[in-house]
Amino acid sequence: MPLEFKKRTIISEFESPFENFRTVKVTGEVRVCPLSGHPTRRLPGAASFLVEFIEGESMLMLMNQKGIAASSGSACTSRALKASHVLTAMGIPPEQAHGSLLFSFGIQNNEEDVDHVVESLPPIVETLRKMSPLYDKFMKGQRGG
Amino acid sequence: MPIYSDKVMDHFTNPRNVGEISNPDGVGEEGNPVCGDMMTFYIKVKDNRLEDVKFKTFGCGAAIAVSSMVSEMAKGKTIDEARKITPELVAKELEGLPKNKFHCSNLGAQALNKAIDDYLAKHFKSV
Repeated sequence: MPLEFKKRTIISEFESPFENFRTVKVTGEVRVCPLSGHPTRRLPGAASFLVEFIEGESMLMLMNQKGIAASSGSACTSRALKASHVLTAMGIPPEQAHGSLLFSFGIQNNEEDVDHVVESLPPIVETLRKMSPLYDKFMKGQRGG
Repeated sequence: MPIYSDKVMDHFTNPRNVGEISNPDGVGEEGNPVCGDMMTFYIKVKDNRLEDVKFKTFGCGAAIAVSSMVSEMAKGKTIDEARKITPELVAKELEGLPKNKFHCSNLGAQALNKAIDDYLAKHFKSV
């Protein structure tokens, strides 16, 4: 079941001076790709998701090929191979934390950049999930097989 | 992100033999999602030769490239020849792996060997 990504601005939820910044609101099945932070009480322009069944670095590499620079893990552990200790301390299981994806929009970004991310991410997720044994098991479980 | 060789990038971007074999002769799983890498290999054996090899991998760029390379190296080989695919050979074929990613090549070779073990266990059980 492909994720449904909807591009909507959530800037209105932030009392932020950075009005030109938006974060990406990803909707879909909560089990599959939840936002890992508070929905509104977080930094404007920053959004961290948990893309289940795939691993962060492979997402970053494919996004990099599309000209998108994002990170995985938490900001302070993005180079570590281990699941982020910040995310696991939040009670997120390590296998889920490995699929974390962090976007930080800054002063150089514009609306088109956000659109580019929102358009590019779903096919990347789909490509990696097609080769993920974890997603395979999840889908078989969903079908009762 | 680590700097990978062109060969690793090629196998990561265009992985060969991704998928699952229906009614495989052997299945091997290695790694653990908690650690961030997990590979499942499927093999079809005919006349003691790996007629088909497919894989599914959850993991980093190196893990996907290693799986692809192992599948390519193993396809068409005899059981004995496929047993000789070592992590070092896989890494060499990929024109090297970053030091902290070498464990991925271990996983690939181990998953393939487990699939062969599974095939042999079933085969000898039924003989």
